[in-house]
Amino acid sequence: MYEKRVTLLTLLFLAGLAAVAVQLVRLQIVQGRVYAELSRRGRQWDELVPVPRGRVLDCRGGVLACDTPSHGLALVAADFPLERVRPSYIREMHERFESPVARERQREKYRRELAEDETAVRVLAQLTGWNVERIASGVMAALERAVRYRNERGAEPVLFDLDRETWMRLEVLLNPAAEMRKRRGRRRRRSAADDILLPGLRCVTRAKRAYPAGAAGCHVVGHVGEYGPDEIESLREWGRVVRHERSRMDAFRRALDSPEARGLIEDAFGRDPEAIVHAAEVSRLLRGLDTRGRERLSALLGPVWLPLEDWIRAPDLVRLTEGERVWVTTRGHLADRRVGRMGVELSENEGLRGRHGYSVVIRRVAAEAGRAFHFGHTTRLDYLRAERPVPGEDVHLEIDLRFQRYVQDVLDAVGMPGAAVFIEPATGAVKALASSPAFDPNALVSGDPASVKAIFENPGRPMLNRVIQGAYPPGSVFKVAIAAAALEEGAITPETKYECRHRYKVGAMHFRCLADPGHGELEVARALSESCNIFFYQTAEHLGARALLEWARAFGFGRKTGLDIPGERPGTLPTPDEADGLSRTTLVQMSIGQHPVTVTPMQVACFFSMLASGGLSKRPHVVGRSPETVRVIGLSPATIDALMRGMLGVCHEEGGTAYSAFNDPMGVGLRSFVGEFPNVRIAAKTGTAEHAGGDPHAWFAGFCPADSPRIAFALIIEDGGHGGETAAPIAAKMLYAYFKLYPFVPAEVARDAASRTED
Amino acid sequence: MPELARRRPVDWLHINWFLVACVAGLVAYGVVFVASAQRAESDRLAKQLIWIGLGVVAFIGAVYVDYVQLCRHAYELYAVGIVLLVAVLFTRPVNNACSWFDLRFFKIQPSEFVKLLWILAIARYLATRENYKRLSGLWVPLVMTLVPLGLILRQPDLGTAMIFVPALFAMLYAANARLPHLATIGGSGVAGAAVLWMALMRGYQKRRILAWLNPEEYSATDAYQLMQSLKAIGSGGLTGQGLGRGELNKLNLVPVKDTDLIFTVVAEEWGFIGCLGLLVVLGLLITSCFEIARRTREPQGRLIVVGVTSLLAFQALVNTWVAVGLLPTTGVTLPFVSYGGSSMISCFIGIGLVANVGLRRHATLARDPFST
Repeated sequence: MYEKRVTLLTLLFLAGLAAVAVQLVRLQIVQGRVYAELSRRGRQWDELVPVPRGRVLDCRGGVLACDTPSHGLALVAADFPLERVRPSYIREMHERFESPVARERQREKYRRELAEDETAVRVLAQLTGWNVERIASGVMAALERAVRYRNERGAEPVLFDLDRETWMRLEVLLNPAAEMRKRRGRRRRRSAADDILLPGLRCVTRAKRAYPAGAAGCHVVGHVGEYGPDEIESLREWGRVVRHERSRMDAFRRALDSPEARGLIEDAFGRDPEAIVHAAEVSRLLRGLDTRGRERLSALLGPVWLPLEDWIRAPDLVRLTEGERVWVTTRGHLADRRVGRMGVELSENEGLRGRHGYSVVIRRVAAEAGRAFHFGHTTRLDYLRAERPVPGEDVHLEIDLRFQRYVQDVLDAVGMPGAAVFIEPATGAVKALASSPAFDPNALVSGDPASVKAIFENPGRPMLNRVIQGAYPPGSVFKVAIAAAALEEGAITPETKYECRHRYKVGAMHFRCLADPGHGELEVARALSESCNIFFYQTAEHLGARALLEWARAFGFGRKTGLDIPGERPGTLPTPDEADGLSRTTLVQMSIGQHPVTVTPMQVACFFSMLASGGLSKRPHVVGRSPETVRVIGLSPATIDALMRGMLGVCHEEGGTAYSAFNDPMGVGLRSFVGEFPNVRIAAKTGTAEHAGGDPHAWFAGFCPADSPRIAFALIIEDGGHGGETAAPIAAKMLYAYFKLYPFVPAEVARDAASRTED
Repeated sequence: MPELARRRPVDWLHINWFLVACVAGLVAYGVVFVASAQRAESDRLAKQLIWIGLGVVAFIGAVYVDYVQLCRHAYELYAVGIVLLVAVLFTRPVNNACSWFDLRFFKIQPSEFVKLLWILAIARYLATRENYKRLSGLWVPLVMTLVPLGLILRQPDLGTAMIFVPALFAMLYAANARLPHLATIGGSGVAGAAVLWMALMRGYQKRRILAWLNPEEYSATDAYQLMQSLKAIGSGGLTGQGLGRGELNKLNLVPVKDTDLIFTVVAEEWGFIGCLGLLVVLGLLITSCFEIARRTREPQGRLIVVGVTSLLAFQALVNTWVAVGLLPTTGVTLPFVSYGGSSMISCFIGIGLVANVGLRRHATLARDPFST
């Protein structure tokens, strides 16, 4: 009985060993080639060559954004000699603690443990002379990033922006050359210098985005941020798909080498496989196979089938741009995690970041020469394929940094939120675009929590680009559009006169004009220059709501201007179909640019730019490119003439709403604008837009010089009061600066000068 | 029976040389592959040779003292073992587990030795009682097992704790405990494990099991070890890539390759043939140990041999099964092959006990024990 039981036990254990043998047959003999292929792939990776991000330059080559080196320490989580706080614990922490409070508590615990118990941290503190806590929190942040970005074998920043001396001192102590020395001197005795070496810690220099112009142009240039873990995850997902695409296509071609397999594939696909060029097509066809077809192919193709099978499981490839494809090819371990988050940095991200280069590297073992057994070995890297890096391209803006800086400063000096934009009517090029308050993108990039918080919690909302994202009632500025529409529709002629007696009755309501007791009888030009409301009430009633809305839409209101900065808003304007539902009161209110119309400063600037170029609407742009005409609006010369007379009156006729801003001295000891630039005549319109809650918004918009327009502009000061009193003087200053930078010489004067030199 | 157990000189010549040869074979495999698996700067081969030397000394010691004498103090030794297991829980954790006493120049893992002390105690208990043949009488050996097992789980060291269970069953089975009773205990154990899974198991432990069930899904994270092991084994093919030329081994892409996954290195470098050789040596060792158990009449000796052999054999099975993906990843060494001091020495002591039993022919007055 006992002996039988012992025999049974023996047999049981031997059967267990036999099971291992059977499994070995399966793994090594039957599927050996498959696993060998997998093993080869596991030893292969892409080695990245980072490239500098392109610069953002103004029209004269002034730098708005560029890369600068930042010196610091980075650590490779897998190599850094920590005894108690392991990356795997941090991963568990992220899984276990859902609430940020609990997580923060745990984080604090690890930070304390790092500071108190970890030799490596203490050694680093001694080396650098820094506070242990500071290093512990840097190390903790690096570990956490390594875990979140799944980059435990890559370097993650610990502390950056170190001064050069400290950094160079550290580099002598920590750089890989020291490690090499240690390896070479393995057989000699360890010296004291070897003992302070901290593996996994590297002195690195990395590119940091800098914005030398600071807040000037911040809303145009925007800023960069970092890919978040989720984004990296999706990139990595795509990377997995794209990375193998080429190897799959290679495998497919290899499969076609054997005539048998080729016949089989031809049968299975029902068409000539040679004719298939695109990877996506192969993928689709493979997925169309039934199970039996797959099994037959699998049996015949052996290891070649493996990558093809992956293909079947892969998700559909969306259309990634070429840049993205290369970018995601690298398992989401980006050479550069920076990505544009706003402004031109965002819209031109593809070009700016360039394409990092990479080599497909495979690691092999090579025996050390002169040894019988290969216990001593060296690692050899074979470079299979290389992709050259393409540095990021510089982006040239139309902005003139000198002018932009001045505009921003003047606007900031007002002390109230506001926006200003200047466009060249002939091309649509934006020469300056400013929104106040502004922010310093350097503060955002620095990652310093306090300064980032200060920007985001500023009640003035500096991140808002008011030029394209602020929607305001246009106020009287809109009258120009009404006048243009009415003249074109024939609702009025340049000579039509209406009488203004301060009050205008619509139903039971009274609408007023600013002038008391009224302007008396006046025609369109004077109505514009003196900004008479009553004239436009009557004009709008003659014009009708539908025509008004159709024209307003044609002038570009109620839709995006197509500026090449992301985030533009369309403003609000009822569609022509809604015209019949609008009450008479609404119509009358719309005629002077009040509720329900809202516009962005950009739309207003574009409208005046269109008037300046006689009906040609150019797409506004900040990035240098050839001009593009969006719309051509046929405006008759009579209309333009009438509008021009009205708009010139605003600044050049006594009684014009902005007369004093351009005819009074600009400051102590300075001449007036008109006195300084007698050749520059300004066609413009003021606006005082009532809105709920606060003083009216002050508008000033127009173009100049009136007879050969160089610049169109729009300016708004939120809650600024009267347009002629608040906005116009500010605009006058800005224009003053513009014409100082770009002196205007009238065509006939230039001709005279030219003919004189010829003589 | 003092004269029966009288001290006699050890007859070294009649030691089971076949057993020794099998052990030597395993040790040789170990030396070669620890050498191949060690990293460039490491001194593990040298240390392994020292462990083997100490192991041989321990082996001689284990053969020298008559096992019957040893069994007289089995309970006291068992108590010492429990004290050690409690004490080790108060040490500073290494790799998040309190399993080692750090004695400066080397570390000792008490659980490796407690296994053997536990076998002596169980052997003594079963050999001197009859009540374990009733279901109600099984609670004593069960408690004697659960105490060290619980303490080891507390460290936590699932792999070592797990080994106790089959050894206990093998000893009870060999001692002719009733099969239905064993089945009852086994069944409730499985039910308990299910409850454990639902209620107590930690996230990472569950994930390991899920990863084992579906390695490719988890290949980058939890099944990394398994996946690397499978790749290395598979790419070994029939004859292997040659000693010291295993790509995944040499590039350090196989984790714990000199301890838990040393079998993987054998498979990668010597292929199917090399592995078969290792399995045959293991098989011969197991068979010859059980052969000793069969030939022994003295009940304590029988149980010691069955216990030690089951322990070593089960450990070898778990280790190889984990490597080839038949079991979820758990850290158990391959006896005599893996790198590790405590494990090596305790294996030598264990096999020394087996040889000890084989060497001594104690007469018994009873009829063939465990036959009824």
